[in-house]
Amino acid sequence: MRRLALAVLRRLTDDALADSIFGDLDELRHKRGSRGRAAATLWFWREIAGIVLYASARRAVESARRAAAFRPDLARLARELRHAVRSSRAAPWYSATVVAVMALGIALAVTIFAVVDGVLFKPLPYPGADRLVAIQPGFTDPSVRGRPPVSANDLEAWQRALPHVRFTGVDLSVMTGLEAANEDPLGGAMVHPAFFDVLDVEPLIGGFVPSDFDPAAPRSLIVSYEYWQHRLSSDPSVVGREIAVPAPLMSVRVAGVMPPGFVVPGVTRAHLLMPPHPRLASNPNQRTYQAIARLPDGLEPAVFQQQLEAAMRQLARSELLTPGGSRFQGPFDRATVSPLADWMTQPSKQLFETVSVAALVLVLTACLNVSGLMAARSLDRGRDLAVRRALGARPADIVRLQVLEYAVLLGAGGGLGLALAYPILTITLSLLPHELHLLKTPALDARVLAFIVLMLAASVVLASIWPARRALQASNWPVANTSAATPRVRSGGRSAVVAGQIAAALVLVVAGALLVGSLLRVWNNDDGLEVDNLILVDLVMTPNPVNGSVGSVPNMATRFEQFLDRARRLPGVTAVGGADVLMLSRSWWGVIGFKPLNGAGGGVENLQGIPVTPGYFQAAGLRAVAGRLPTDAELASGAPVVVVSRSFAAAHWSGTAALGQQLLTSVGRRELPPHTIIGIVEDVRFAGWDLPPEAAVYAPYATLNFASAPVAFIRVAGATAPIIAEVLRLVEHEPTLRVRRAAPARELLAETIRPRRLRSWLFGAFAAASLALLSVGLFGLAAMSIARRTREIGVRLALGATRGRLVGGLVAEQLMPILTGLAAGGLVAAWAVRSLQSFLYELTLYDVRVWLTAVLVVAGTALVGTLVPSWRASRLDPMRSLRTE
Amino acid sequence: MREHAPAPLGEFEQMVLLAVLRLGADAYGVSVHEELGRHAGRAVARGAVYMTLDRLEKKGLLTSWLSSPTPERGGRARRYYRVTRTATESLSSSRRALLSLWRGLAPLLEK
Repeated sequence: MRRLALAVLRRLTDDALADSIFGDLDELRHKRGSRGRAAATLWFWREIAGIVLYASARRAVESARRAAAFRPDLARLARELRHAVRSSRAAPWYSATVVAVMALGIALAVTIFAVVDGVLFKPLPYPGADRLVAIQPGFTDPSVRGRPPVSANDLEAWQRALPHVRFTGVDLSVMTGLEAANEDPLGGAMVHPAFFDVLDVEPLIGGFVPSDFDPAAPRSLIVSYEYWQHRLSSDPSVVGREIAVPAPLMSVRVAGVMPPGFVVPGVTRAHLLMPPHPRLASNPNQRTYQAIARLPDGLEPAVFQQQLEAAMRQLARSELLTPGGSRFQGPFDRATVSPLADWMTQPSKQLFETVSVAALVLVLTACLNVSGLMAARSLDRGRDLAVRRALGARPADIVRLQVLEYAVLLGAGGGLGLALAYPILTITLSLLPHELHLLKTPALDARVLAFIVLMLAASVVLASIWPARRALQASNWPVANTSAATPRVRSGGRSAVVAGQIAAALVLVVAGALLVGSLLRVWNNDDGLEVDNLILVDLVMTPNPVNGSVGSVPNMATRFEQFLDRARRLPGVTAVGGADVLMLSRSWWGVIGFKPLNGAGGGVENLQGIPVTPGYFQAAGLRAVAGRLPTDAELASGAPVVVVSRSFAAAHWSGTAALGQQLLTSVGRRELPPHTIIGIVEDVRFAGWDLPPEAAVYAPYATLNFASAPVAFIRVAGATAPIIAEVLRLVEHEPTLRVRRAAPARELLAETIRPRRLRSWLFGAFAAASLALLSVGLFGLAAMSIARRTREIGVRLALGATRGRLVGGLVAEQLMPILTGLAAGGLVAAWAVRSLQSFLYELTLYDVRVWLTAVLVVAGTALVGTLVPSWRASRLDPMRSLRTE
Repeated sequence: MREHAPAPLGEFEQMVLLAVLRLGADAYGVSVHEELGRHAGRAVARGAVYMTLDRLEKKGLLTSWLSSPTPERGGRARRYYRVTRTATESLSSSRRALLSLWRGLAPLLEK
C-alpha cells in the first residue's frame, strides 16, 4: 500500500517532493505513535489521501488552464476570416484567377480519383481477400500456346491433392440472354458449387442449394443487388420468383440476391450468376472455368504455385491424352498463380497509374501557379503588412492572416472544382470501356470527398510556403516608403515557379499529343467496309445457356437466311447480306479453315475462312480489286469458289498470282471439293479500328452451313435508326432468334477503340488544362509584376523608350525561366513518356513532329502569357504612370 | 537555483514565504504547515503547503537542501527551504503596496 501511495504521489508531483512528503508524514506519525499506533496510522493515510486529492485537483486545474490557452479564440478567427474575405474581394481578378486555377486542377484530379479508386485503391469486397489467388494453368511444352480454362474435374483433382487449399471456378464466357437488344450486357457468370464458400461471402437473400447444380434441375440464378433493386423492386420474397427469358421464351427461377457491392472476379458489372449449363454439368471434363483458390494463413502464393505444379505433374503421369485430342486439352503441368486483386485489376492498372501521376502533376502545376500569384499579391500588400507589423503584429500573426486568406481562396476553388467534377466525371464515365473491371461504380462518394479535403489541405500547405515567406519579407519593409510601387524584388523563386509550370505543362502536353496523335491516326484508317449507311446486326442462335436446347446446324443456317430475306423486304434497305464472323469485338477468328492445294502458297495451313451469303459483298461495300466477285447464284448454290483479301493474296502468293489457285477445306469430317480463288478484295479490319486487317477467305455460306456468329450486313438509303427499329421488330416473335446488338457500323467501329478514346480524352484534357493553367498563371504573374513597376515603365517611356523595345525588354526578362522550363520539362518528358509506349499507334515515343509541336505550343503559350501584359504596359500614359501613388 | 525578477505573489504564496522567513533554518514542510496554522487562524491544507513550496521553488523564490536521513522518516531526509533574494524583494514590494493601501483604513475596520 505504501509503495502504491508513493507511486501515485510521484506521478502527481515528482520523485523529490513525493519523498519529502512521505518523510515528513512518517516523522509525524512516529511522533503521534505515542497516542496509539492505530490512530497514528489512520491519521497518516488520511493525510496521504488529502495530499493526493489536492495534488490531483491541482493537476486537473493546470491541465484545463493549458488547454484553454490553446483553444482558438473563435471571435478572433471570425474577425480574421472576415478580413480574408474582404481582402479577396478587394482584388477580384486576382481572387477569381486563383479560384479558377484551383478549381480546374481539383476538378480533374477528383474525377481521376473517383475512377481510379475503383481500380487501384478499393480493396476487394471479400473477407481475407489477400488469401485469394487466380490460377492460370499451362504447359511446359513451348509449342502449346494459350491459356486454357480448367474443368470441374481439374478442380476436384487439385482439391484432393491439396486438401489444405480451397478451389473454385467461375465461367466468364456467358451470354445471359436476359438483356434486351442493344442493351448493355447484363454480365453474367456460371459458377462452381464452391464459389461463395471459397470467396467467403453469403448472398444477401437466399442462395444456391446443391440441387441447383444438378443437370436435370430447372434453371435458377442469383441476381445482383442493383438488378434486385431496379428490376425486381427490392422484393424481399424474391426467392422462387420466375423471370421471363426473351429468347427462347421460357422462365428461370430466382434463387437469391448478391450482397450490395459484390463483384464477380473477372466479370465486369455482372448481374447474374447461375450454375453450370446442363451440358457442362454433365461433362465435367469440359474446360470453361477460371480457377480461383483461397490459401490458408501462412501459405505464400509462390509456395502454393510449386505445390500445385508438383500435384499437376503427379496427375499428368496418370492421365492420358484423349485419343484424337490435342495437347492443348491434355493434362496441365505448369501454373501461374497471382493474387486475385492483381489479376482483376492488371489489364487497366498501368493506364490508371499513369493517369494518376498525370493528375498529380496537374495539381502540382495548379499549386505552383497559385503560389506564384499569391506571392505576387503579398508584395502588392507590402504597405498593409508593414503597417500591421508596426502596430505590433507578430510574424506569426502575419503568417496566420495570409494562410487564412489563401485557405479561403483555395477552399472556394475546391468547392467550385467539386461542382465541375460532376459533369467531367459524367463525360469520363461515358467513355469508359465496358470491359474495364471496376471494383466500385465511380461516383463522388465519401471516399472521394475525403480525398478532396486531404488534397485541399495539402495544397494550402504547399502553395502557402513561398507566399507566406514573401509576406513576412514585405511586412519588414519601412512603412515610411511613400511610394505605392513596392521595392522591386529580384526573385529566383519566381523564376523557379515559372520554369516549374512550363516543365510540368510540357510533360503533360507531350503525353497528350502522343495519345491524341495516335487516335487521329486510327481515325484515318480505312476499315475496309463502306461504313456509312451500313447497319450490322449480331444475331444469337447458339444454344441459350439457360434453355439447354440445341438446334441443328442446317436449321440455324436456314433461320439466318430467312431473317436476311425478311430484312431485304424492309423499306429503305438497298442491300442485305450475311456472314459468319465475330465482328468488331477486338478479337477475330474464321469459323472454317482452308489450306492451299498441294502445299502451294508457302505451305501454310488453317487459313481463316468466313462463310458469306448472297448480297454480302454489295451490302459490305467490298469491290473486287482483281478477278471478280462470286454471283448470288454461286453463293446460293455453294459453288466451289472463294474470294480472298488483298493481304491474304500478297502473303501467300504475289499479288494476282493468287487468282486461279485452289484451296481445300472440310466441314466436320467431310472433305469438300477444292475451291478456286476467283477474286481479291480489300482487307477488312474485322476485329477493331486500330487492329491490323485480317487476311481472310470468303466462301459460300451454303457450302459450309454454319451459324456460330451470324452477322447481317444491311445497307440503307437514308437514316439508320428507323431501320434498326424495324429489324428489332422482325425478331420480336421469333422464339429461337435474338438480336444481340444492332447498330450503325460506324458506331460499332468507334466502340472498338473506346479504351484509346478514353486515354486520349484524359491526357488531352490534362494537356489542355495545363496549357490553360500556364497561360493564366504567367499572365497573372506578369500583370502583377508589371503593375508594381508602373513608375519605372513611365520613366522609361518618358525618357524615350519605344513601345517595341519596352515590350521586348519585358518579355526578354522571362526568356530564361521559359527556356529553363522547356529544357527541364523536355528531360522529364523524355523519361516519363516511356510508360505510354503500349498505348501508341503508328507513332514512336520521340516522334519529331509531335515533340516539336508540343514545345512550340508550350513556348507559345508562355510567351503570349507574358506578351499581353507587356503590350498593355507599353500603352500606359507616361504622365499618369509617373503620378501613380 | 537561478534567481528571477520580482513576480507578483498570490496571497497564500506570500503567507508560505513569510512562514519560511519566520522559521529561518528550521523551515521544512511540517514546520511551515504548523507555522501557518498558528498564524492564519484557520486550518490549512497540508497538500496546499507542499504544492506551494514546490511551486515557489520552481519559480526561484525558494531554494532547498536536504538534511541527513533518519529512521523516524523511513530513511528519508528532511527538505529544508530558504527564501531567495528575489523572494524578499517581492515580499518587500508587496508589503509596501499593502501598507500604502492600508494607511488610514484601520479605524474603518474597527467600526
